[in-house]
Amino acid sequence: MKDRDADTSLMQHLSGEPPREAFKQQVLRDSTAEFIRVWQQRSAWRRTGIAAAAILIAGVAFFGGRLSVPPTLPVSVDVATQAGAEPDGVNVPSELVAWLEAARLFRQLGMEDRMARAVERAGRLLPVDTVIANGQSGQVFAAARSIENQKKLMELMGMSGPRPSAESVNQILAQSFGD
Amino acid sequence: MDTDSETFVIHAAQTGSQQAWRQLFDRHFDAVYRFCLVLTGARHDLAEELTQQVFVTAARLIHRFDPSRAAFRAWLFGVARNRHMATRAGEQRRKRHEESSSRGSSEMVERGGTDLLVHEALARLPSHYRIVLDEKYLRGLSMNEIAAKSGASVEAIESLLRRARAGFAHEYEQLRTSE
Repeated sequence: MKDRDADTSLMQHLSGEPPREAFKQQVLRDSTAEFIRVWQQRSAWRRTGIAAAAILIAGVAFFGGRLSVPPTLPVSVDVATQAGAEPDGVNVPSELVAWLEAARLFRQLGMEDRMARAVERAGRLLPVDTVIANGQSGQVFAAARSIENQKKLMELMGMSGPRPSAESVNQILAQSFGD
Repeated sequence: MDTDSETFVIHAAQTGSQQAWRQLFDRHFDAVYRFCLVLTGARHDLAEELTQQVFVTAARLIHRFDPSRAAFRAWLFGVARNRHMATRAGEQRRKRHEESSSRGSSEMVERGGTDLLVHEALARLPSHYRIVLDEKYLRGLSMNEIAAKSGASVEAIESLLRRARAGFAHEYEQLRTSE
């Protein structure tokens, strides 16, 4: 195709009656309205997606945090360490010994109910999870599991352990008498 | 509007700019209408309906357009072709039994094929060639008017027009031989 042919062809196919102005404006309005509608719809989808992602991340973080915590709290490290430190026996907390001393005192005074409460408090302080099955210590733990074994427990109270101070015994007695 | 600025406008429209959409509409409306006129066999009512469909569809799908793969006008022509084929397929199903229309439509398609090549060759040109040919043949502006509008000399516009026509002839021959 030569230059003159191209000119003729373009003149023939492109010239002619232009589209009506009213029609052009109508198409512009309709297409712009569609353009706005689609854009708003896409923006809404984007916002929804971001919100869903945020909720998902928060949910994963929450449940991840929950699952990372152990279901039960670990046993007191102090007691376990003390129990493990002496393979020949059990080193009991001084408060336990103080309660047992108080129970012995109540027994001597004939105050059976107070004695029972003191033994019960002492029983709660026993390191049950570190029971050493053999020997005298095992018998102490087994006896301390119930109040019914109070007498047996009292017979075994001469076991090794730190002696309570007079001040702590007085404090425990005061608590026992409800002061 | 050169290639880079058109790419910029397309990108702005793809990110929701209504002003960019209006610029694209103004730039391509006349050419799309003429293309639709050829597709519909010079029936103005059908051409208007098709043009409306093309721009509403383009407004809906512009975010999918990839400037690196095709010119925007060529994409609009593709939308026009698809809409027209869909409409014709529906009509042909309804009028399959009418033999009288078959001869006339085949003649129209043959003639329309040549006309479509002119529009498609034009759409494949670099935008600075296409724009000057649009101004000259589609909008019927004189050399002086084009020069004044673009801020170039009349001689520069004449030279640009010659190169644009040569480019058009090259594209047209390529399209014709590939068919």
